[in-house]
Amino acid sequence: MKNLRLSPTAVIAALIALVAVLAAVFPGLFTGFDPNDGGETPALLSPSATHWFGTDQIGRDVFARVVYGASHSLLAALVAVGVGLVVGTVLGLVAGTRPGPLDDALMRVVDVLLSIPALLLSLTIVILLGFGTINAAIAVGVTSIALFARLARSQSVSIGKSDYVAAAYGSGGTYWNVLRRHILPNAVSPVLSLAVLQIGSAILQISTLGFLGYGTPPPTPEWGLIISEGRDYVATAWWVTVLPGAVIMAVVMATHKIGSTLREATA
Amino acid sequence: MGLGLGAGSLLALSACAAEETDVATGGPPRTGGTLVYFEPQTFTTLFPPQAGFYPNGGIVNNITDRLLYQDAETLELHPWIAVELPEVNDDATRFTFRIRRDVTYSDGSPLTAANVVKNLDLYGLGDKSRQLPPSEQISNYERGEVLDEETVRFHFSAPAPGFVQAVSTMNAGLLSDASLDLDSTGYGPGQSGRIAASGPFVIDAEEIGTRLTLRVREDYDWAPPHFEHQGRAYLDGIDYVVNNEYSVRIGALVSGQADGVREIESPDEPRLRERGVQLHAAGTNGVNNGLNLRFRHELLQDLRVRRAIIAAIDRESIMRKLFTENYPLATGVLAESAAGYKDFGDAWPHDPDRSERLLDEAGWTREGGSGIRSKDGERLSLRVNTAIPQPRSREVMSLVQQDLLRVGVDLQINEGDYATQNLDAEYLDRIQLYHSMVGRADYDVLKSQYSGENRDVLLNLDEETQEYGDPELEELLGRIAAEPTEDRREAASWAAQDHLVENAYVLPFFEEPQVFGFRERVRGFRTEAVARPQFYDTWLAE
Repeated sequence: MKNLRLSPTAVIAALIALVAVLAAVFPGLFTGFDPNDGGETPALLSPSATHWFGTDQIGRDVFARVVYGASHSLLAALVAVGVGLVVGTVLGLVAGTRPGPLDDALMRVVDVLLSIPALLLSLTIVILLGFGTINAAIAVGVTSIALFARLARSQSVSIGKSDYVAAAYGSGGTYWNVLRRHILPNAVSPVLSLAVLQIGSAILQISTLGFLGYGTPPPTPEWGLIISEGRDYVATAWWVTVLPGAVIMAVVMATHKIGSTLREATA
Repeated sequence: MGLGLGAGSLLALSACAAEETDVATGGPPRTGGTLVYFEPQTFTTLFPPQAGFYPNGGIVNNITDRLLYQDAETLELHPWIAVELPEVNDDATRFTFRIRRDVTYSDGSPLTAANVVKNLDLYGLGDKSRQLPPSEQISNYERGEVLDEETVRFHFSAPAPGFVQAVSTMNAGLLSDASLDLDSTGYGPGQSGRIAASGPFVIDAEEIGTRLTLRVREDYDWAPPHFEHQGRAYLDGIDYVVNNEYSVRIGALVSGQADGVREIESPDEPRLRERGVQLHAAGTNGVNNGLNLRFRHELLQDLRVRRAIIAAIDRESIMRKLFTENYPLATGVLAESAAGYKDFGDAWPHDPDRSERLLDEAGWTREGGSGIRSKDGERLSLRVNTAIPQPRSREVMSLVQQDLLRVGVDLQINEGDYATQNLDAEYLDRIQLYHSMVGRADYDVLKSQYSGENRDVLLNLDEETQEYGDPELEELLGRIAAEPTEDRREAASWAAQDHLVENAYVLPFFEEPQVFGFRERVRGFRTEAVARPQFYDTWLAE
């Protein structure tokens, strides 16, 4: 791995990601308001020193909802990427190292997955599984299996042709041993940087499902749901949708920047 | 504005008219122009008995005429297609109407006595083979009879005093013989061109789920005789445009793409008024918007639990947070202007301490850290529908959810579109708290909402056993529709309301209005008695 040369934008991205992770783990550090109970606070107050992001359509503090929502959105994104990463990598490695009918079959399945638009596929799966955070995350994860499988396969094919793999087989290594000891470690770093890149789009997709009402049920402050519930008031109370939207955008762009920095560093 | 009819009030009449011309409307009505009207939902059927759904009623009300006309403000009945109010026998089982003979339907066929009987036979009895339900407003209907060319008589098996008002609602809109032969698909989306009625507007074109165009009936000449305005409607046509995205509808109104929009939400009212949009809030004169507690469900069988739920909900805070003064806090099961209204002003105080006490007494305790009460391992968790046609139902339910959580009751809000909500609402195990309302300016409205024969929003009737969870409620409701005199109907309605309140079956929130927004150039907009738009008098200024 080359030395990481950090640009200022990468540093900012890392800071944003750090804040997001802190908010997910210790939401109480960032706000004293209850995300699910606005008490007697009037609805749709504009942003102020007390309510940084204003209040929503029923008087809850929007900033508190965004902060508490971080854990749902980030956890769901990690689950989604985890599903894609593990399943996709295993499929890709097996396909790449077992040329022949198995490879063909697996890759055709992957082609079929790639041919279905990601949103349509995740909607279909979430309707089959039932609504909820984890189900939405799994649905989003399934849509990224194909991406991981393709990358892992191409890596393992090129590594499989290298001399040290031939040597490992020659010195008596079994298929699984060689796969685990030699191919996987060398194929994994581009796959991992793809995983970081995918976190951003997973957050986006999960928010989309939440927006459409297929994710976390209310009143849980999931980011997409916050925007969806506020969208009727976008003309009178822009802050309910615009500010959480800006936060999602910042976090997605930050993870994207981190992912691409890592990819350049490992390429 | 009430117009005097005697000669002595001629002066008052002309003064009135002058004022109306100069201030309210800015000149004499102008004929011509097409009104573009945005609707949140597409119509589901144009079969008049099912016109209660706002998008259906908005169309049916403008294409059909009725035997009688009900004034939206006084709720008084006037002749329309019937030339006078009907003769009714003493026990309200026989109604005799004399009808006009100069009326034709838009398909050219005449409106005859036989045709009127054919209409009411279908609306009174329904037709299962064509999947057409009877009107929920007509009870005990037996048959219609043609006495002569201009006289019809309707017979009932038991007193049906609500029938006179029922023939004035859009649910009894008159259709031509050919239109009455359609099945339920024939009244549905995509088939609207097949509907021929006698109203001031005629269906011209339809794009399924997107747009419906009405065009004026040039030869229309049978408006209710007491109207000042006779002859054709002022508008050349009406374009109903369906767009389910609220912010788009408001944007269309502000930018001038739309002339009118149904359902303006409270937070937008001040801003729209500033931009010169006229707001028109019309009461729906029926059972108030509220929460119905389905007492047959095992979690709600205990009266203490129902009372606790009601005491936990802070109605005034909900109203303050979500609604403007166009939405009056409910003071009874019915709206103040509705027939049979009884004041229950102090019946639903917010008292969370009492609520907690009642739940403790009923054996629902907080164990563990979850904060949700449970008993014998079962959590006190209920599910409520989202009433999509009702204003801000989701926000109202989010606040109810907050209030209930504070006393340890978990409330889940049902997700899904209009069809999903309707389907789920029919099952006790899916929806235990039901958010709804219904508008109708007659005593029978209570029966329409709660009877097992009609909407049965409490699911009092067990579909499997065909038995009532609370037979007394059903009997009280039946009495409202069967008592022959005004006084006794009112007494029956009061008794049923007392029963609903004492047993903690309902928590009314507010008197639901329909709030319409119109551009400045739209004049003379009116609604009928339950707030469906009536575009006959509407015109567009230059």
